Amino acid sequence: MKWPAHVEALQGAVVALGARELGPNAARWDSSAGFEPTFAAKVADWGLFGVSVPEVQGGAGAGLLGAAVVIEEIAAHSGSLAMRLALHEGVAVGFALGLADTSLLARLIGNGGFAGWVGLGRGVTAEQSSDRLRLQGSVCMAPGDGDLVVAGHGTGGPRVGFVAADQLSSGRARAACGLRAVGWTDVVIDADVEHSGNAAVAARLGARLSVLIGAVACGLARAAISQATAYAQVREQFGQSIAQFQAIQWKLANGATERDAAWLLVTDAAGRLDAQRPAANEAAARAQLAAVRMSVSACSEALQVHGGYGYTREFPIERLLRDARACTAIDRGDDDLRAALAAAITARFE
Amino acid sequence: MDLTLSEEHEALVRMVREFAIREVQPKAAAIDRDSRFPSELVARMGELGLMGIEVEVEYGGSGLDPIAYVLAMEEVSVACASTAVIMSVNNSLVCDPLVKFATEAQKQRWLVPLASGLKLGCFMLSEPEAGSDAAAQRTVATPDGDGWVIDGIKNWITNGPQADVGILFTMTDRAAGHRGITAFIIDMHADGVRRGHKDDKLGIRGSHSSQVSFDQHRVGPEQLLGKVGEGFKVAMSTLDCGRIGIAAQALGIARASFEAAAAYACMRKTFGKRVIDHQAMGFLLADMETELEAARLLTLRAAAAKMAGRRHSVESAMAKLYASEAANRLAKAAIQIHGGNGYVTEFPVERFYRDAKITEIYEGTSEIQRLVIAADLLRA
Repeated sequence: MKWPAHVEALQGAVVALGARELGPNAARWDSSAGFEPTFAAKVADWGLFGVSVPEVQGGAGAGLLGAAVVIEEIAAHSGSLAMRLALHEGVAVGFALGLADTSLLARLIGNGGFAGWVGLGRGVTAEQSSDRLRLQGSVCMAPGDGDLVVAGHGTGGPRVGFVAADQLSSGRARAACGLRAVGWTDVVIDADVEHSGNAAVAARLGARLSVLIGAVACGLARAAISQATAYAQVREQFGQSIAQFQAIQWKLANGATERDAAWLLVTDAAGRLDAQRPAANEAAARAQLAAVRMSVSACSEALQVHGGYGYTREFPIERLLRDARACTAIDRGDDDLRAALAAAITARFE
Repeated sequence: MDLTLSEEHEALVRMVREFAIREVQPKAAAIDRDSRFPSELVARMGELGLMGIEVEVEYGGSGLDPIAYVLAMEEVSVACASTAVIMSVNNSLVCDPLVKFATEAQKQRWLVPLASGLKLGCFMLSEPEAGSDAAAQRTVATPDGDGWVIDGIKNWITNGPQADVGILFTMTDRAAGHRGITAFIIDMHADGVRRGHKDDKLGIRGSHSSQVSFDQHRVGPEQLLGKVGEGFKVAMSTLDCGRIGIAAQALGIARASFEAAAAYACMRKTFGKRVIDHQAMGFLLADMETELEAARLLTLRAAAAKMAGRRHSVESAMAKLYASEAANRLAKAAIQIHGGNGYVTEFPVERFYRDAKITEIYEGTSEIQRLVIAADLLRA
């Protein structure tokens, strides 16, 4: 697919980075369920923080579309890193972009480490006073141990605020099935925060994250289909490569078609959000819904093409499937997305 | 890839939508019920410039781009898939190969009246024993003086009963396989061309198809399209474009299904609440719209690839495969949402269901599309 020149340039740089730095380390990050302590600084040096931020504000100026392209490419190597970036860029950077005070944005683009997200419906309460937002709650499986953007319900409706890492108490680390290197940790939140936003902000951040979760899912699926295609051409059964069997060809063709369909939904939604076009949030929800569902199916079928080998850790395909499955549990699940879309359809047709 | 529509595209959509809603949709159920070929709508589409959308103005067309073609096809298909496929065949399968392969003299003689809607075209590739396996042609063109004599039978020829002009594929060298296929431009009113009875079909009943047989039909050298032995190239190149049109037709049927289902679900009440407020139905509609949008984007991507002058076999195959299968899923779901009302002809969704099925079959079955896509993946 053709992108604007500056997005293509970014993508090219990430392709090279992926082969050199990400692919060789992805399995290790997965098995150790985390990145090295200095890894976020490396990521900052690589210019991967603030891809969606305008250049005048210190970012790469590629918009959410550029971030989606970069994150999809990274996901083809490491789903965990891609998801950390999706949370950081989609939510934390998105939150900071809406603030008049630019210090938080500078911190997130610089070496402030990965920031995460606790969305609505996680049991956090939010009470707004005149100048501060108080967020309280115990959250199971928050991403990592860095700063968090936290959404909560209060008497005035949903609110969202930025909670610095030193305002959080980390609890038990959770061993997850997939996206393990994100570093899932229980946290206790009891913080007064300065930077906050309303329900519209929470919805905008949710839509940005939907697009980038979709990008992660599409990258995982692309890698899985690519690996299955390569394997099918070298693996022989019944006297011929298994790629010669239509049953295998059908899996590959279906996977590639569904993946392209989902990727178009993701990039279209990113473009709509960048241009602030109407119904962009709905487009983002459809993108996440289609992409995550597709990714689980494509990775599962790709594993099937690998036969028994696909079930072993000798091949990366089992990790891709675990990571794809984990995408279904990040932020809004399948049912939440469909409920939101059904409400939007009702509003248009009633 | 930016698939945002231009102002010119938006204006075209408004024009075609108005035509479709005011003139086509009110007749669609009767056209289907009576299996009536909508001559008056075909004439109107000619007047509106919809019969040669991508053909340059100097050759009688509208001089628009492939995205415009997709948009127009979608709008007409929402109203009546039968009317839409008459338009699609003329645009994609007849005008398009003439634009690409005809000589200047051939364009003046054949393309101008076709693109301006004065004449109607058909595309004659399938045979009783050669559907998806296009290289198994049995219709033969035998050299005769400076021309050829053609004998054989073509099957399922859309617009066959009404067409004035046809693009015909024949075998001129059986030993050469697909390199022995040659294409001709046929005057459908000439001696030696006979049309069979119209097929009695499951859906798209207002679009007539039939056998067309050739009995010692003589063509001159001025009717040769492309070069001798290049007919397979003409056919495949044409189908790459035709598949975009069928994807757009499927997209239109899918949209009609979704819109009918959503409107019904917001109106009909069961167990004291609207159908859409039942989670199973609301979620189903959410899935339907997601598939609809994905089909739209794949179809527009294929059109954009054609517009950029790139080879677009895979994009076209993916668009047709996905959109046609989505149209079938959505039409089926629309009936389910309508319950018993979906099963009667009082409501249009049973027609959408019957019309959707053909999109998985003509201009390359879903299986052929998968072969095209898989071959590309394995070549990469």
